[in-house]
Amino acid sequence: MPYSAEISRDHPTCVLFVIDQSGSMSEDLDAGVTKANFVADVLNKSLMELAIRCRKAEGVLNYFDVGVIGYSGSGVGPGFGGELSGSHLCQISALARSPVRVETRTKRISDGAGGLIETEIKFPVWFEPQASGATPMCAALRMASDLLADWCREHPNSFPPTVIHVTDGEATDGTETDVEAAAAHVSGQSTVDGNVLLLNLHVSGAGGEPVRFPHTESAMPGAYAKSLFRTSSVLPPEFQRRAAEIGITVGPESRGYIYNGRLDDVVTLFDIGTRPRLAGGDR
Amino acid sequence: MKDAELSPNWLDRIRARFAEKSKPSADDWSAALASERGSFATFLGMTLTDARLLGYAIGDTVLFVIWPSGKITMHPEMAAHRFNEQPALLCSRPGLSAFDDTRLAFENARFILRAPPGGWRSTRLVAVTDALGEWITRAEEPPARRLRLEFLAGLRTHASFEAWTKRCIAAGHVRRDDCALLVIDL
Repeated sequence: MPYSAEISRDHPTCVLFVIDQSGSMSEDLDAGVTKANFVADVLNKSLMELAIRCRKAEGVLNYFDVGVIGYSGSGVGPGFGGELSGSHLCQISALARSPVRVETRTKRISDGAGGLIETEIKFPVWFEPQASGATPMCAALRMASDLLADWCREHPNSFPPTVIHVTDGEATDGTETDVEAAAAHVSGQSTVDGNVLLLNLHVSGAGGEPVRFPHTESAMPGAYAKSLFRTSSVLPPEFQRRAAEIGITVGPESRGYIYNGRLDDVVTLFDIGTRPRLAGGDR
Repeated sequence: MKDAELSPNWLDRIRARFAEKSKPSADDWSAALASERGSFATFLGMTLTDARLLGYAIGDTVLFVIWPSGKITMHPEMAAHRFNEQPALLCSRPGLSAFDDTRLAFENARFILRAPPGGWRSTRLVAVTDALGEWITRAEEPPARRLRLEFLAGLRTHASFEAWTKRCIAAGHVRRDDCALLVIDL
């Protein structure tokens, strides 16, 4: 059965984020929160959660390779800062060792008696928010495809890579057909366990009803939304399980796609994309 | 930790000892966060007297008893598929276990076995964690289950046990999961 390979140190999987950093990402997603800032926060938190899940007594073990590709008016390239600057993909242990900085943030938690108290938490940062210029989405997807072709060759028996693509607009370096062709190259890469899974998140602060995990193209408003639908992978049972774990119901034909997503949708899609079940002995 | 008293108080003490031993370095953010979230573990504790065996089993560790009569019992009773589910585990940090009330969880996890008429002599206790529990209980017929238990009990060195589990996991006969084995011949 596809998408059933165990994720272990011998057979790690890969999570690649492809992030739109064009000028429009500086617009608000919600009052006072820009899309770029919010996406960067959720991305850093997702990386942190992955690293903590791999943290054992002997250190952070390599169940994942991770990477970020950013695209903007400045071009397309790896999105990590600091020591990892220039790395497209790295092992999770290297990521854990090399945040740009570790911030101390305050978080409100239950006091166990019905109230809330503020507590300080560590928050590592690897990826900084940016927003400028155009939207070279086709080039970014081609870069992802090239990286993952190599990765799949080197890890033929692994659970296939997951790509989480976040955008708020249309490509400026190609037509919808070009985007679909580039995305098809991404999801055309495969291991013996299945094809690369491409999840698309379209974020918007401009109103309009979100469409979450659609199963039919006819549910999508407009040609652009339909085009992104066609590029999104059908969620396999493993991803349906992950969705159920966080209380989201998806059907067997649902696509990994949210259109007109809001704050919560960003968290949801990142969560589903980064909750793989590790092999039992590796948990 | 050797301790005659099995209770949540025992757990509190071992938690304190674990916290002391595994205190993370302040500049290791992942160790600090992982420590805050705690480590989770299954639990099997037993005290044995001439008259009875008192046990507590939490999570997916089980005790098989091969009685002098040849009968085999399992404590707690679990079907093979239950070992594939996410068990409710104890956490190294108070308040984070998968139970609202750890004291109650201990009470519910308690089992008592009376000594056979001729005493415990010739009784064999085989305690196993999840992957081995699943492997044994997959053999539903008593003779097949006995064969598996006797085979495990015959692995007398750590090296032979490790080699066997590695081979079986690689071949897919035993699930890739925790494998721990304790055999006590009384």
